[in-house]
Amino acid sequence: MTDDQIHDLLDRAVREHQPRADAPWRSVARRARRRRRRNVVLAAAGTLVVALGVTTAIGVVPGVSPVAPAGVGGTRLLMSEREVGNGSTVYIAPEGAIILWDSPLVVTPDGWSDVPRDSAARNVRTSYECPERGNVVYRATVTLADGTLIPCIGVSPTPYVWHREAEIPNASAILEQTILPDGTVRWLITLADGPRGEATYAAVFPGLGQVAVSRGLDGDELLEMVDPPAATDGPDFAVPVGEDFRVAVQQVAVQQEDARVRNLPADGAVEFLTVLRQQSASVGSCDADPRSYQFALTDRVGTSVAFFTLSNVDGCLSLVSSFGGGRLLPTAELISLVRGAAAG
Amino acid sequence: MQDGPSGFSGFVSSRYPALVRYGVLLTGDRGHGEDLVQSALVKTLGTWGRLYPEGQPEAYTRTVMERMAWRMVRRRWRGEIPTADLPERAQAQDVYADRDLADVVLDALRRLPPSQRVVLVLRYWAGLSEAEIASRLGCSAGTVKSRASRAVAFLRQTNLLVDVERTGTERA
Repeated sequence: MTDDQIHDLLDRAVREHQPRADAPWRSVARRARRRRRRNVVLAAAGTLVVALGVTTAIGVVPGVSPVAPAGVGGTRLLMSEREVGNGSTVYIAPEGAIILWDSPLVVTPDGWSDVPRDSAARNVRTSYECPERGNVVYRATVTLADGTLIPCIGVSPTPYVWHREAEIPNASAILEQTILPDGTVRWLITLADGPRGEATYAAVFPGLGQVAVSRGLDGDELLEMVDPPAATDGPDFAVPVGEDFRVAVQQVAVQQEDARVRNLPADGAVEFLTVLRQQSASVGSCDADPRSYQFALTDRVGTSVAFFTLSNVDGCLSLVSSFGGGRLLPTAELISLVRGAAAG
Repeated sequence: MQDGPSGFSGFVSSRYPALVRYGVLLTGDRGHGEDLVQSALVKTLGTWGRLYPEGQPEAYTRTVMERMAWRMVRRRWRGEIPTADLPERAQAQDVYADRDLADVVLDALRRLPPSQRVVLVLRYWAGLSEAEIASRLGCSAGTVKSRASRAVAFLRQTNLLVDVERTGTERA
């Protein structure tokens, strides 16, 4: 068999194929807009990561100690969330942005150890890193109370540890991001030639007060990032069902009463979602269910589209998404989506 | 954003079918191939200012596609379960023979690991040398050689090469 024959074989496989998209440019534009909406959320992490490379000025919240805890190098950048609520502390270390918080739900894919979270490790702290450009998968190191370090790959219950894939070109603008204590995010853009822009979004990580100013972002890109959100980006928004993504549940986990995390078949999540949907339809219903789920939706190529975290640990349903901020209710569409993934 | 930056919509309109055919080969699936192209074009759009009019946007897009397809080896698509058996292959006189053969070849490509599939397409369809492939994918020439060899061995196992030789002879 010759190279030409193999070439012919491959060529005949696609010779007659015609794309399905009638207007491919519009499909690409839609996808680019969707990517930008995600970037608005990811920018919280992106700003931090940028600070490692080309950022020339970082605003530090006044009054916060610049001293990092033992074992963590770098400069303390953001106000400890403990000071405004329970949550994370963010550091800029040489190897990347590190976010510390009390042990969250951690999804461990095949081949990795589950993370124990017994009473002795209640004060477990998890370090999320996103050191690699263009890689939305990040590593997590869980430190147990006795100091044991457990490396794993985790899916964040909040989106701000995501790493933006966008390349950061030469400095031409200043981005100032303020996340107010009520969860509102304010973006203030100052381009190199003077014009300023401002946009406000509802955030999915309330209780975090921070100011991060970075230089080195491209002005046009930043303006795209603060492009006014679509109607679906409001406080309640829709799952991207029916668009040209084929979405699937990538990771589902449940946090049980014994505080261990394990992977869960998607059909189990369907059942849970259905129950929660019924609960949410009842005014005042807020039954405690110490379980949490995470859904990572991907397109058909495998690129992450959005993360959803559904948590009932606090006795009240909370479902947030990285897909543009806001709360996502367990709608029939989401249930259908998860059920479809389970069937697949 | 309606019409995009200058030249981009024209580039997409003119080169989209060819890029999709490339994407189909790189992924072994028509839907995935189109997804791959669109994802790559989003990246091309993001760097369009440096690619147009002086650069080579199609080469850039194809490189992005290759690397995305190569990285799929580290991602697991759970929405489809590969089957153990190939579908029944077409008879030589079947009027739909070409289409059936295309389905069989794509099915075989899907069953290849992404790294072998990408190397196979770059080596035998795009006609790149092992050194060129290694450079584009950021791996060693030895890796390219071994994966190409395994991919061809798999195609031989499916008798696809026998088929293409036979039908080629019959047509001649």
